[in-house]
Amino acid sequence: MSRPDRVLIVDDNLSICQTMAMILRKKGFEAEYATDGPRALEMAKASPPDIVLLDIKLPGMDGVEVNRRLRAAAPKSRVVMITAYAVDDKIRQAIDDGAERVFYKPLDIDGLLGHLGKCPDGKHGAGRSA
Amino acid sequence: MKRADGRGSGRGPEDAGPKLEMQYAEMAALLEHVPEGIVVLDAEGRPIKWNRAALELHGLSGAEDAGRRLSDLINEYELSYPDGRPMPQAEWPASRVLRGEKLDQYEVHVRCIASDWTRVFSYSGALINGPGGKPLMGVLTLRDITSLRQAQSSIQRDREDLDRAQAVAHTGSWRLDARSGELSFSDESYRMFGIPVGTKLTYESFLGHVHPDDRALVDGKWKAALQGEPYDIEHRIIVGGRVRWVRERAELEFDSGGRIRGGFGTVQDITGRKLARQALQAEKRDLEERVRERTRELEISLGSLELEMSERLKAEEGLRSMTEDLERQVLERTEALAESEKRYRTAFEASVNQLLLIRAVRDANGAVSGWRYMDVNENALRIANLERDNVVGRMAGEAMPEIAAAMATQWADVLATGRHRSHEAAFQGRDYLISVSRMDADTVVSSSVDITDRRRSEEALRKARERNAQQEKLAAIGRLAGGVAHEIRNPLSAMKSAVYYLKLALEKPDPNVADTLALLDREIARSETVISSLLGLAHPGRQARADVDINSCVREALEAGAPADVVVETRLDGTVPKVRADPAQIAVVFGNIIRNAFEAMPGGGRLTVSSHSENGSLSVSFSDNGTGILEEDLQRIFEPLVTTKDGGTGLGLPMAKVLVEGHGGSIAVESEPGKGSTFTVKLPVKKTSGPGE
Repeated sequence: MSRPDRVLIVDDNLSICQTMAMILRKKGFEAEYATDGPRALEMAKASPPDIVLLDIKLPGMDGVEVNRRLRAAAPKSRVVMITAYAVDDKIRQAIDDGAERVFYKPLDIDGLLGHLGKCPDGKHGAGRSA
Repeated sequence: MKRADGRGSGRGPEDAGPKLEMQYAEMAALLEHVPEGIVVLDAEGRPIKWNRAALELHGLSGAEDAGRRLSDLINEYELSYPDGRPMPQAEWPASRVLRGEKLDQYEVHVRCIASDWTRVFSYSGALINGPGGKPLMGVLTLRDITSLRQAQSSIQRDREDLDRAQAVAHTGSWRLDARSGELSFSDESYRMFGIPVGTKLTYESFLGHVHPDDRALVDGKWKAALQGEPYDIEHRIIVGGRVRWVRERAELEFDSGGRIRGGFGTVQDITGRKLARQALQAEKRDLEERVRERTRELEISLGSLELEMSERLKAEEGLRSMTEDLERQVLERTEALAESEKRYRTAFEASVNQLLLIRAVRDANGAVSGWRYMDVNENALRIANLERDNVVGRMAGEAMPEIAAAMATQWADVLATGRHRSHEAAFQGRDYLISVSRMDADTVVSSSVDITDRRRSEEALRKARERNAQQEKLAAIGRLAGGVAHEIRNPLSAMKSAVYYLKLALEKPDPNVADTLALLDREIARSETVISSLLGLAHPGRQARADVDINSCVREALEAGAPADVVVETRLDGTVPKVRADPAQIAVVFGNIIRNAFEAMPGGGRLTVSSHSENGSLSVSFSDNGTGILEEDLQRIFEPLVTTKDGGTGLGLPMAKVLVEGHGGSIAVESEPGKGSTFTVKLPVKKTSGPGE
């Protein structure tokens, strides 16, 4: 059995970070979180996550910029954008920069888990619930 | 011959003796042949001898008459003086001779009573005394001078005529006898020269009357005349110390030997003419002098006049330029007036308003009894559909009776008060704004304009403004929603995650806990819907247009399901054309309306959805038989956040309206409280062309 996928949650709403981390861990993922861009990049450099849940609106450096930098810091990390806004331009930009897709808040959690469980390269499924 | 009285008769010749007798006989014979009449009387007056001539002259014949005594004859003849006075017998020639008087051509007019002839006799005679101085006899000789006197009388008349003629003509005549040197004047000549008629004159005495200054001239001319030169001169004479002018002309008479016999001339008083001419000349000279003086004065004044003239010319030049200026101004004013009239006419005709000039017609008391159209522009004629000739000059009651009926009161009011008035009125189904003003004491001007279109566009504008205001409101809500959405979606997302985790964590939750978690889920979902609706309302998003089958949209919207107690009926027209529309937005529209209908029928009911197309648009109607909408709510039903339902967001219908209008369509509602409502969506049907996006 392969090791569980490690998910980095980046959102300035700590509640979201904590609840999502608890859910992901329940579902067999390793989860950690950051509430701003620079911290997220730092963590990604230190230990590149398999998946990054990246909020577009962040204080200071926004999600689009963080995504772009993650290309250099953790080129193998999958990035899924999350947003409370229909900020089409930024979403398009993020996807152009390599993000997989976007989920809108309040998150459709089953939908999100389903997406994360898919293996883009067919290597493995996501962490499965116990 | 009258005989002397008998006193003269005496002795006969025989008493003288033989010698004397012989002498007497010879003498008697001699006397008989003398042409003059001879009568010899004795001292007593008895005729001693009548010679034949004497008898004939007296109209006597024979010896028997010769013996008659003077006294016998006195009753047979009447004697008178030449002047006509009767001659007494004592003055008869015989009486005078016998008294010893000597008669010399004693002229007596003798009338024979019996034969009624009158003759003029000239008697001469004397008393012959005998020796001792004793009267012996009287001798009378007589001549008949009747013819002579008649001739003389005729000559006298001629002379008088001549004299009168000369007097009238102021022309006298004269005759000069060259041999005697005697100069004879006619009476007029005497008068002219101031010389008593009959005065003896000679050439020299004549010269004495000539003006001393002219004497040499007159004498010279006369001498020349004697040599054959014509004599026709004018010269002055002195008459009573005064100068007069005469003109003299003369013809000279010569005898057969060429010697001068005398001259005959005329003299004419030309003083008057001369004086007149002199006066004329004097006057002429005077006139000439005055002319010269006047000329001098004129020449003097000419200088000042020229000066004045140049000033006047300047003034005239100024005046002329002023006049020209004035004329130009008048011309310009006239042109301006014509231009103004043209402009007025152009403006009058070009006006989009209907213009009427109406003049009051007054009765004998000055009260307005009617109205007459004085002028009307084409625009007014077009609206009234009348010809100019049928309106201008006509009474208002005849030409456009309905206007007169509607307006006459107002015209009269404006005319009376002078106050401008305007009001709106309908004419032939259109709205007009009519303004009436007073032009003069009898004329009002009515200007009307069709405001139908303006009103419609005002109405459209008002609606657009309302819509705009609504959109502003929506935009504000959108901004507000956008602003809060993030803050709400984030906590909602956290809550959702939290509930999700709790459900994961609690493998066998208490049923109450499970219900509570479910409740949390529903309310979170509901909050999501509200937020999404708000955002959708504020930012409808781009339309993704396609050729859409509206009937399909209706069916899909209805697939979401209806409450159990609601019957849904569809009456869809399968022939309706497709429309260019965003199917997702149309789905929201229909979904919102259907949901609204279901919510209006809390106790169940029937929803009828129908579609049809007409006049380039497609309609879909949703009729329910629910609670209906109150009149006051109907006005605001499409306004955001207005809801009458407990669970309503107040965003569904505004959202539907925004989206339909975004398609160029419209949404309308009819409702009757307690009976139900009908919502109708109209979408324009266009040719399927252009990019659908």
